[in-house]
Formats: sequence, C-alpha cells, structure tokens
Amino acid sequence: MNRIDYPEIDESVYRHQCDNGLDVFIIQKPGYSKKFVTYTTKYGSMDDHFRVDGEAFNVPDGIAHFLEHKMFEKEEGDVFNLFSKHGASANAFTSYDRTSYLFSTTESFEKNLALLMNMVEQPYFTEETVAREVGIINEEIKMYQDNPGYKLYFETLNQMYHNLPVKTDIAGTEESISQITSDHLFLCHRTFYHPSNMVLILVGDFDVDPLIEYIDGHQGERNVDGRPEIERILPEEPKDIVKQRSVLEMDVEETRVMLGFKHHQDSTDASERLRRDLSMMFALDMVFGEQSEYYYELMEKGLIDDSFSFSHIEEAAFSHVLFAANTEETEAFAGEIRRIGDAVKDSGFFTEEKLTVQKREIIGDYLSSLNSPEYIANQYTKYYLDGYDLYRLPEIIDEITINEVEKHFIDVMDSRYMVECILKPHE
Amino acid sequence: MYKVKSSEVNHIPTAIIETDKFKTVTVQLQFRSRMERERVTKRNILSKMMIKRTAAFQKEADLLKHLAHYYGAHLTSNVGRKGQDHIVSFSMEFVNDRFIREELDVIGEMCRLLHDVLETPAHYDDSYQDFFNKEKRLYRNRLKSMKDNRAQASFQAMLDVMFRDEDYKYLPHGVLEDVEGTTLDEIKEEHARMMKDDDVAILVVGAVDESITEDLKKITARSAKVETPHKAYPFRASEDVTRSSDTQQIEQAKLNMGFRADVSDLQEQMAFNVMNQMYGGSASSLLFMNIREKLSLAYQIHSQVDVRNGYMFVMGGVDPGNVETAEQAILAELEVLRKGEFDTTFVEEVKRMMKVNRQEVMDKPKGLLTLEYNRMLQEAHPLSWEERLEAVDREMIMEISRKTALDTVYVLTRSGEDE
Repeated sequence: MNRIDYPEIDESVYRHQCDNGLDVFIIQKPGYSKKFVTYTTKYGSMDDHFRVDGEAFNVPDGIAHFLEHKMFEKEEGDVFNLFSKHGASANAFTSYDRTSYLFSTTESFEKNLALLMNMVEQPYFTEETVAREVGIINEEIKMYQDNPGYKLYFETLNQMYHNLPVKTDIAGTEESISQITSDHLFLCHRTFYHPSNMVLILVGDFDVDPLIEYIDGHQGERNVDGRPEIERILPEEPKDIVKQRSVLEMDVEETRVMLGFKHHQDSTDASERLRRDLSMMFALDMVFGEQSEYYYELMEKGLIDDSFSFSHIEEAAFSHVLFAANTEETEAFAGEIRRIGDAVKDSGFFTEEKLTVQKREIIGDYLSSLNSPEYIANQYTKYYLDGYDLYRLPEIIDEITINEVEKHFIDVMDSRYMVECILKPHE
Repeated sequence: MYKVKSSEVNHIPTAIIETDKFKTVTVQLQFRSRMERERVTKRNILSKMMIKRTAAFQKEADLLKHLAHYYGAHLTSNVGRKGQDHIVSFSMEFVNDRFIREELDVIGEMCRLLHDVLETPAHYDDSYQDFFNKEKRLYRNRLKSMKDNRAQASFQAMLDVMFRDEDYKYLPHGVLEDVEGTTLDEIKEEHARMMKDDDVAILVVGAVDESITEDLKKITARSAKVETPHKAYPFRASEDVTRSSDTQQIEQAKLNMGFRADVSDLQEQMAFNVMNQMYGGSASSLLFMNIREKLSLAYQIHSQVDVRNGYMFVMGGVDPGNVETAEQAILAELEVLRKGEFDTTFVEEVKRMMKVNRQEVMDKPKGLLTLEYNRMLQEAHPLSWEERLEAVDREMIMEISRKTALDTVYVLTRSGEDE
C-alpha cells in the first residue's frame, strides 16, 4: 500500500493492489459521516465482441446492463433489501466502458462492504430469473423510447457511426435482450468480473490499515487465480459519417435539434486524449459559453434558449462534439453553429486572457465537486480506467496552452463530418 | 462535526454553520411568502433576472466573468414550496480562500455582489425592457419544454385534477398562461414587496467564523424583523376517487395516484414519513419489492410525500395493458400497511435508513442549509427529530395509513391508433 498526498487540494489517497490483481483506492474525507464505495468492472455496453484467452465470443446487445440488473438477485432474495437492512443505499449503472456497483452508508460499514463484494463476485442466474428480468428491462427501454432527448441522442449517434457499438442503446433492444441466456451471463461474469479487471474505490473517513487488511483477507479467501487475457474487438469505423441529416417525428410540443461533429479517434495515448478533452472543453466554452458574445448573438436571434447545450466526448474508441437546442429554426441554428465555428478559426479569437478566466473558473468548479464523495468515487474511477489521476487534474489544466485549445478546436469542428438530427411534432 | 451559531444580522435571522470539511463556502438567502398564483410567475422571472444582471454588471457575460475571476463562484436562484409558502432562494457558493494562492477578499466581494443582486431591480427602467422580454421568452420555453417530459407532465396533470380548486395546484415554478401579460413594472413591484414584506433568513455554511457577520451586514438590512407564520394547507377529506386520463403516442403509460392524509402534528408527520418509506419511498419498500421486483409490472415505481401538507403521490411507468392491474396491486400494498401485515423489524429498518440518510445529508453544504432552514421554520416540539423518529411504531404506521385515502388517479396512456 502506498499513500499519495496532494497538499494543494488537501486530499490524500491510499493505493493498494490485492494478490489477485484487484486495485483498491482509499480516498480520505476527514469529518465525513458518509462512506461511499464503488466496485467497478471494466466492462460496458461496447464490449459485445471479445476474445478471452484466444477464443472469440459475440454476445447480444445490452448484456452488460442486463448482467448489472441480475447481480442484485441471489438465491436468498434481493440484495437491495439486505443493504437497506444494514442501513445502506445501493445502486449500479452501466456505461459504454464500465459497470459500477455502489453503496453509501454511515454505519455497519464492513457488513455493507462484504455485501457489495459478495454480491458482485458471486453470480446467481437461472433461466427463470433471467426471463423475468426481460419484463423489467423492456419497461426501462420503453421509458427511454418516450424520452425525446434520449431518442434524439441515439439517432444522432446512428447518423455519425457506421459500426461502432456506441450507437447502440446501453440497455439493448427488446429483441436483443430476449436472446440473453444464463450461459451468456456466466460467460461475461467469468471474463470481465475477474479481480484483475476491476477496481474498488472507497471514499470517506477511514481507519486505513485494518480496512486494507479486511479487503485483502476477503479477496484472499476467494482463491481466484489466473488472469484472463481479454481482447476487446471493435469493428473498423470509417472516418465518414453515415448520413448528414434526418428528421424524426414524435408526440412532442417542441422541435429539437442535435448536431454532431464526428472526430476520427486517432490517438492511442491517454494523456494526449485528456489534453484534447480539456482543450475542447475550454474552446467550446470560449466560443459558445455564456461568457461569449456569440452566445448572446444566438440568443438575440431567438435561435437558442436555456435548452442550448454542448459537450465534447473523448473516449478511447471514439470522439465527438454534440450541440443541442430546442428551436423551430433548425436550419438557421445549424448554419450559425457552422458559421461561428468557421469565424473563430482565423480571427485571433482564442486569447490567453480568455483561457486564464476559464482556468480560474474550472478550478473553482473542480474544488467544489470535491465536496461530494459520489463525484470523487465516480470520477476517480473514470480517470483511473482512462489512465489518469483525478487529483492531478489541476496540474494538467495549468499546462494547457492557448495554441492547443485553438488547434484542437479547428481539428474537431470540421463541418465535413457534421450531422444534423431533428425531432419535431407529428405533422 | 459542525457548529451552528444563530443570531440576527440587520434584523434578519441568521444561521452560521461552521465546518471545515467542505472546500467551499455558501451564503444563502431565503425569501418566504404565501403561495399565490399572481405571485409565483412574477417571482420566477424576477429571480432569474436578478442573478443575470446587476447595476454594476450590466451585461450577463460581464457578471459571469467577474464570478469566474473569483474562482468560479456560483450565483444561483431557486424556487420551492414549503407548506403554504413559496420560497425564493439566492445562493452564492465560492471556494474557501485557503485554496487560493493570491490576496483576494472572496467573502467580502461575494457579499457585496449579493447586495448588488438584491438591490438592482429597484432601478429597473425602460433600458431593462429588452432584457425582460428575453427572460419572458426563456421562461415560457422552460415551462413549455417540461410538457415533453411525460412523467413530469402527467404528474402536473394529476395535481391539476386533484387540486382543481385549491392553491396547491400552482407549482412553485409558475403558470405558463400568466407569463405573457406580466409587465416590467409588475416585476419591479413584486421585488419591492419581496424585499419589504417577505420573511427572510440568511444562512451560511463552510469554514467561517463569526467574523463573517461584518461581511453579511453588507448584503441587506431591515429596520425591524418581519415574521410570517409558517403553516400547512387545511386538511380536506377525500370523497369519491376522481379519475382522469389522457392519451399520447407513447410506448409506456404513466400512472399517477394522489392520496390525502389527515396529519395533525410533527409526530404524525414523522409517522407519515416512515410510512411512505415503507410503502414506496425506498428500495426496500413494498411497491419496489412487489410491483417491480416480484410482479415486473413497472420499471419505475415510487411514492413521495409532502409531509407538511399531508399529501402522498404514487408514480409509475407501466405497460398500457397493465394499468388497472398495477393500480389494484398498488392499493393492495397500502392495505398491507393498514392491516399491519408487516414485521416490526421492517419499521425499524426503515427508521434506521432514514437516520442514515439524514446523516448523509449533513455531508453536503446544501443539505446542511436545508436542515437548518427547516429548523428555523419548525414549531417548537419537546422531542428532537431523532426522538420523534424513535417513537414511531407499528401502531402509528397502521393508524396513519388508515388515515391516508386515495383521492385522484390520473393516467397518461397510449393513444388508440397505436394499439
């Protein structure tokens, strides 16, 4: 175990690796009653095609999320209930690249930690319980189908990506989940829930040594050996978009539009990707954020309202920028975003002064986020899985230059790779 | 882990919550008035205008740059409901200066800025008309876009039916139909009323001490304390169940059920709270365990309560073909509580969970502020929150659940042509 101190932000982290390969991080929050734990496997909705120790498998869409649901059910009953009995609230979520199980409590910590570890480590599936889960997940899928924002988002991704599973709903489809069997679930659990593919993050006010000893003891008793060699197989993704424009109709009051700028993921270096992500966040804020004159231009023209949003997504397998707004004038909106994107490219728009303001702001946001154990655990996991350290973020922010900001903006905001998706009320 | 110092600053009740576990300091002002239709819409527009432009910062971008300079200080406004009251709050959250490596009087400047925020509407003149028109457009759009959130819109529709001739049907965020006719002069008048007649409180949380009082004095002042009694809506017994429905081209039906309970005092409010947690307010609740997990009738199913006013609401997303079955199953679980067909251990587990949740709330700056503000509003009671929780037993749960009656059922379901 080693301890790393971050005096600038007044934080410290203990890092430990168990003999079976499980990475453990204990993040101290002195004075907090709450203890928050996440147990995460590097296994998400995009991992539907993989090779383990040389053998290749294809599994139905939505299986990582299905597995997440099923892990809460054991022969003795629902584990949710057991957490409640021990004074803890539990939950779980699945994203593109990970599945996290979590709980928070202020009491009976060891009991709840054991419950979490056992729940995640010990699979229990039968054909009957798998069939029953299909009903619940179908309702979850339907709920999202009625959500205009969600529908617009996945349609936009479908216009951008030919093959990458990022375009597929994390929960799968009614058809794909009906194909899931308990054998599939055992296979995915055996493969991806191996300790060497997982990370345990504990945030709170802890007595560290006995805690590490306890986790080591628990992991040691599992007698898990061997480390499966997992190779994720991702389809080749062309640089081009699938379709430039599409229009969906739905029973809604307002017309919405989403624009996507697809950026070919050409970087395998984690730190380079982090710098591009931060640079793009600064650039988009400078150009389209509420401190920019362009934002007020769009507002004055009535093309945007509070619903206007933008984001940059930088993942190991893909990268894109999204803009969304509720507006009747979808064409004018798309035209203005494109025009502004071009206008700033050669106008000396990006300045050191603007970057300094942005950096001060982002440091404040970052520090205030560190009040939250949930934020710390989730973001620490994400950054760790991507190969970074959340607590080193201020140093990296400090290093970002205005040249990087400008370069990445020009590179990513290429209108040849722009898609436009409109969702409007039925005619 | 924290100390609360209660005092008055310029005749305004003030609570300073001293704790060094957070990296930020938050200063919050709570303005409380009666929930009335003619007030809520104006106050929503007003509160948004106030946090965007001030006399010193005539452009929104300039105000934001100023906040960014002070390490991303956050100025926000919010509206809410407590009992019969409408609450408008303004919060300023900023980084604790021990993380700043330069001489910057953050607390002093943020309090000065809050003064500017609170005073500016008194100077609204014709030059603010365009800004006002823009804010009206944004507000209208916000209210309209809520209609595309099926769960939210169907819940609102249920409130409209259940409280058709009661003020509770007005949501704290206002009435769409009232936006158009609102004038800038009315906004200015509403501001004057708010500053003069509202019950105001100042709350602070973070690594501060009493010396912050000097800075707080800069925010606003009153010549005398204004106190408005805080109370709930009177109980109205449910008669026949009112049923209403609507259709849309959707995949999943939204089932909303509204209940009324005759809750007389703080102890009964606590029992109502525990009962709700047992019924549908938690992951170990009867609705979650039986309607979702056992019967697979819904992905989303939960209940929530307005304990002060004695209302309980059940919301679920169910297959359009299962609406009636789900409703019957939901009511059957209430019968379980009424008949006492549950173990005492279940009551104890839920109470334990509520204690844990309350402790967790205290690990958040906003949670501490809310608890402290609630304490300020609460009537005196010989027992503490923990003691009142401890006193809840199975008999109290049975009694309060028998006093809880179904009033309204509203269903948003799939239109016929899609069947």
